[in-house]
Amino acid sequence: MIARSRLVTVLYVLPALALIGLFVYYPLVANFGYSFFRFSAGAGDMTFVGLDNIERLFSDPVIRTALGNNVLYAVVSILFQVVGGLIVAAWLTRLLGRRMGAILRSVYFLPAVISMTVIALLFTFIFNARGGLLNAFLDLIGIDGASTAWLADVDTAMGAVISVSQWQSVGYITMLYVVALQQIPAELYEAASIDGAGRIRQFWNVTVPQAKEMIFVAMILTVSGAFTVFNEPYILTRGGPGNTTQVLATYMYNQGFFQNQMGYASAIASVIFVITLLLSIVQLVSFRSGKD
Amino acid sequence: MRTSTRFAAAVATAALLIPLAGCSGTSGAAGGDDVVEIDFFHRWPNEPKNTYFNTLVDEFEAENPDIRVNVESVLNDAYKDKVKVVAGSDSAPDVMFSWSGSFVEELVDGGNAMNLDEWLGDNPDIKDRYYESQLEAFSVDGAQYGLPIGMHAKLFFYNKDAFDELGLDVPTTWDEFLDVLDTIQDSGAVPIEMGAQEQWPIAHYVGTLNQRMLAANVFEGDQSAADGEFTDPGYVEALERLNELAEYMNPDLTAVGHEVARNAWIAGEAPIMYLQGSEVNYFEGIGFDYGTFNFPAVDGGEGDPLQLTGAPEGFVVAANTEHPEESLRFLEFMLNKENGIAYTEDTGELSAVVDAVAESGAPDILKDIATQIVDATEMTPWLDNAYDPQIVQTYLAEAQLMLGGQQTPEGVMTAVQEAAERVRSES
Repeated sequence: MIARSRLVTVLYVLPALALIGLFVYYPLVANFGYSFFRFSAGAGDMTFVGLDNIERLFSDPVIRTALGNNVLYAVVSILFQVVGGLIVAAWLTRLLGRRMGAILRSVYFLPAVISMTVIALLFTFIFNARGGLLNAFLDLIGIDGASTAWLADVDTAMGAVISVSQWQSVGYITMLYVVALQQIPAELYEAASIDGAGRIRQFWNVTVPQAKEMIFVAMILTVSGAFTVFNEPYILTRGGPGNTTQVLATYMYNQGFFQNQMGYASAIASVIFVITLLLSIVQLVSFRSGKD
Repeated sequence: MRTSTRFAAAVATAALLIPLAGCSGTSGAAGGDDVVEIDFFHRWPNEPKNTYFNTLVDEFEAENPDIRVNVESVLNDAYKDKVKVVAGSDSAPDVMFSWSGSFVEELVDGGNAMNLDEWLGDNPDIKDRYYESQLEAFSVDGAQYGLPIGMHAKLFFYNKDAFDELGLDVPTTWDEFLDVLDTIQDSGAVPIEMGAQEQWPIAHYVGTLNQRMLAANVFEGDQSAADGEFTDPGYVEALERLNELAEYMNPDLTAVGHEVARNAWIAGEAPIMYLQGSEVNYFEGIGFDYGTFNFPAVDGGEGDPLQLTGAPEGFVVAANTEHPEESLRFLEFMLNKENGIAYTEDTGELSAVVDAVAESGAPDILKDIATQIVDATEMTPWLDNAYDPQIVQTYLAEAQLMLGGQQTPEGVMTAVQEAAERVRSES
């Protein structure tokens, strides 16, 4: 009987397992294998090169730039989305009235439903060096000499790219927080205020611990998002000027499809996977999710 | 995470294509009377060429009722990426667009382009149709793999009105060029308009300067992936010349795209710009008289100063096509003289068919440019077509930083030499 029900279970799981195996695990394993070869997208023959691609990862200065940019991306995203998003969510749910809160929630969420391609194109107009909106605005409010080629200046390009992502994603993370915060029983806040806790104290001692699960989810989303980001830098700068705004994913694409180094691109892909996997494990362990 | 989705997408697409391939086979037969379908892939979803090619296909199908041509097109950079992937697959398009130089070489190395020698040997009149210099750009290891559709050349376009006003003549030497630039700058204007936000316009300057600076054997020797070293001091000097010219360009050059810069030139904001002949198309409503001159000789340069930078683009047939005869028939039709004239008239491009431009109703300036191309001692290939893409990527990224003041000419070449070393070790 038990054996039979187990068989049935396996049968039910099998289709999903086959799909995941084919579309997730097989490509993942194959990709690691590809890292040891040199081949181009057009030709079928592959040359085994051993650890060449892996060694190159460590000596390639662009990898260092890209990794640095991804780390910067992650740090800024945590600051704006994980921390900033929670503050905005608390403000929307606790401080604003029901009506205003609902309206603003939609306003904040709006960018999240616009395609990143559209947003990136929009921001190329805003950041444009000649007649761009941002420079025109700076002129208007009288900040002289602040006119900058935001996306073409090595000092500002990465910041400009990252800011676009923040603009789009804060609303989405805020929405997740809003859902979590609405679950917090009002009694907790009442009790806290009877104990004499002010708004800020309430935020730290009630909101933050109660939203812990969601903070964890937001962390995973933003950090793994920061290490796999592609659209924003690709559309806004294509990694330029030079390679200053290259991130791992754009560099992988550039190596694979522009420079025709599919093997090296696979090695970069493996790096992205290992990094996101490690970060997820670290976060899982440190938050000990689901235990409380 | 991204890795898995990307590869999953590739596998999913492949899985979808298997049943699809089956469908097209049966539906083709069901269509009756043995209609053969061939796939045609080009890079102009934009006007006017999109319409031009659609009309051409309609005409071809009317003349050849037994052949149906499926057209697909994606723009420029996307085309470069996509064709590398589809060309190697079983569903490769039968007739596809190709740049000359390293692009067609890559297709040939991948075993994806058909050797046309036998066909051209049987039909010598087809081969004689084209200018030899343009045909040559599609020959790899002595065999012909593609046919040219359009000729391209880069020239300095200048505002004749502005030149007249300042009493300037067209420069032929570097000193004359600098004199002209100084005079314009002293008059308070920016002499040269340049857009270097994308990297390819940089490639055109650097490629020409390299050719002018280096001895021909060095310049050509370094184009070989197996021997390219890029150690000649002329390379550094060429970049120094570019820096010298950059002093005369709009200071925001790295922040503006080529199109924006071109519009500024058309609006008369600077009198000189380095442009391609076919860009005359965009000059509609231009408010001044304009002319062209070739890139001046560079002092101390060992290269032939009369060479013209540019390379033709054309079409190849897939090596694994199931319908070679029909594909070649379409290729022949598309690139015959009549369509060459139509191509020039409808799109403003310069057909590579002998005398097609001269017999077309194209404006005189286009005819003049075509003559310059045909008469040029030799064509200098685009830098981004001349070298391995790994070298190109490094060269242009570093040169872009140099124009932004973040890299030295020596630094650029050190990076290029490293890239060349890797390419040498791989070939």
